Amino acid sequence: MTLLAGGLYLLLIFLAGYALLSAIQPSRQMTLVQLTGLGSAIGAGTMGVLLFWASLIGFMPSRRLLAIIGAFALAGLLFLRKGNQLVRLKLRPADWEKGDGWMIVPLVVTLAALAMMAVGALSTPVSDWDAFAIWGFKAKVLAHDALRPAPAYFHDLTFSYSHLDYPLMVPFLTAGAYAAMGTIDDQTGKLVSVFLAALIVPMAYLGLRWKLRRLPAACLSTIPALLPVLFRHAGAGCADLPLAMFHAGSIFYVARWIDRQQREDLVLAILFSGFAAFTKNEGLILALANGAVMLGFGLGHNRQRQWVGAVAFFAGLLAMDAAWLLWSHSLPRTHEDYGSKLLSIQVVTHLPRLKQIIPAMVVQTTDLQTWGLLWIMTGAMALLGWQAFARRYVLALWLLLGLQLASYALAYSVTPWNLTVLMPVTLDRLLSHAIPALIFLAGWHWAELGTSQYHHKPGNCMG
Amino acid sequence: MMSASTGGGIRVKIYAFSAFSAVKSRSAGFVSIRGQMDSRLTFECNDCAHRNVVLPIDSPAERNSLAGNGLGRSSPRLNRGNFETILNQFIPAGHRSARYAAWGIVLLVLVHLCWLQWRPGSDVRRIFTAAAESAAARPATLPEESFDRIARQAGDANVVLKLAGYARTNPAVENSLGYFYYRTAYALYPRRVYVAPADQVINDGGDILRAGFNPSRQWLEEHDVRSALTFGNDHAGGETPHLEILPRDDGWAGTPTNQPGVNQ
Repeated sequence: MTLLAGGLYLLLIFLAGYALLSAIQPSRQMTLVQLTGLGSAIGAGTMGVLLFWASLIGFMPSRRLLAIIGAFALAGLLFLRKGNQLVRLKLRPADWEKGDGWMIVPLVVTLAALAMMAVGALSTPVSDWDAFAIWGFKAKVLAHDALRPAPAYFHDLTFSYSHLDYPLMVPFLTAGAYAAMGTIDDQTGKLVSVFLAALIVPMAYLGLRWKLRRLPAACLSTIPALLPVLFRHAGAGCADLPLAMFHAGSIFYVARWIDRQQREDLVLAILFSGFAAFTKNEGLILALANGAVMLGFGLGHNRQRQWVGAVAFFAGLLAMDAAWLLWSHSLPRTHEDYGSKLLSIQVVTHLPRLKQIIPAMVVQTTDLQTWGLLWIMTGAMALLGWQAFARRYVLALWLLLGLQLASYALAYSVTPWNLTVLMPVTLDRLLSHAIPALIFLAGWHWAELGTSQYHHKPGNCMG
Repeated sequence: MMSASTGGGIRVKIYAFSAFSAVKSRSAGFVSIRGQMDSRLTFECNDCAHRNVVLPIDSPAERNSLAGNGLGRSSPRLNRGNFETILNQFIPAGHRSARYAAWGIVLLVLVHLCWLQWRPGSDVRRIFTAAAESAAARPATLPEESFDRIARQAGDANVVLKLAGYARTNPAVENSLGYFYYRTAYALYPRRVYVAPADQVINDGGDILRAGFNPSRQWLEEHDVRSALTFGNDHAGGETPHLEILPRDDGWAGTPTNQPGVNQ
């Protein structure tokens, strides 16, 4: 019964995302995978933010609140349907190509892998330290109390280990699931964790289909579903894979914005970056990097629309996360407090630690038991499809990946923990945020070799 | 290259001008034309800004016409690429071998991942085994489950953590003590496991050891503490961690003492 309620909650998330997506991209046609993936991803982020805002004004997650959100989503969908603006499902793609029938193979493998992830998650208790000490704990707190007045938890220093200042996207989504289920069942609540992690696959497909034909895009999208690192953390209940999922959306739409400067890409880039910033502190750094790259490309190419878009990006990001930034401003920081340390002189004084950090990161990327050949594949694809370096969106993505890895290396350099203890237990999770960028880069370089999609009808470009 | 503006103020850049491309661009209202000297032309669509709109160049004459504009090498297999880049001058004429190599790499990655998930000890195998086991056959001694069970025994009141024996002084227990506290605090919430005053920073097990929390009976009563969780070996050699209900009047709590089993 709780599982059914959890399923209905996921459906509500999709409906909210579908309504918002239709408002952003009216009358667009999408395939089932793209619609469910993008709709659910936007819905998840929207649900988390809405539950946070509601909690700020005194309403903790409850069935009544979920029903209100559902009613608004349905009303929005009806309104959009009346104006013929709903995103439409493309059931029979006109650009079906010879060989696309082989897609059934990666599709079956992907579905089987995701099903195994779900079974693994739902059949075991929450056991990862960070999952229960940080994210699960906050979900319980938020399921019991609204943020107004602030629960004692957020100012009790005996809970400092649970990082009182960490963003609340995943805890709110989990608390929403508890509200839907009517009980705090953390094992079934991991449904949310698996759902968010599984969305990485359709988000990867979405980004790949922009440039790749159907079959190669499907094959590349299968890779994240089979990665041991994803299996390990998908059902754990941590926020790393949800961050990777939101980051996938943000970098894809940033790249598209840099390439096409379409308003809808900018809106989606802002949304996904805002969601990422509300998911983990790393997400805020990634969101700022997105804006910086957009601004850099705008100024570098002297394109007014592009740098104005970058300014709009920062304004939108601030508007989305302002409530969180203001509310969390007074929360106690732990001795880690990477944000302050990265902006202090410590970054310079601790630079010698990079001699230990960078080799450890390189070694981690070649750990085949964790990553398979993912990192190596992206490098090889870049060599084979090196012409793609001439594309601005590819360059932008390489830049984003570089900034991401550099910021993580710097964060390690200022950590108060012993690196030899900390890195082995956190590095794979941290680098999992880079999975979407690696997959997109592999695909976009591959597209230069003649596997790009080239059949097109206007209004049909999401193929 | 020629350029012009559309009515909407969008800049139109035509990199490869020929009768063929001009007709196509006017009729379809494209924003820009990006020639590819293979067997097709790529356009950016004005409707949805899609960049991969393709119009086939049917006749060899058309191809040669484009090639003759100095936009690519007029070899039998014409160059394809992006005219606005310098790099495309070096793009090899044929991509077939590279394409096969790319497919090979992707398939290799997929096969390797399938093998990683199929081999003994893999995540999939572990999940499959766990799911196939009945709940009763599963080990009942998973630490998180046993801690949760202890927490459930605490009823609806708060709990104080008591360090006993070696756990009071041995730094080797910091890690397991931290795990124990995090887990029981999580399992008990909204009830509390008190290990220190609320203004004492606890970031790990070492902080709990250093806190040496020893609340008075009055404090315990004010905070609705009715049981104690013992971590470490106690003088009676009992199993730890374990929960004991605090007798109301035995005087253990709040009494500064060096007796084993009491927080210092």
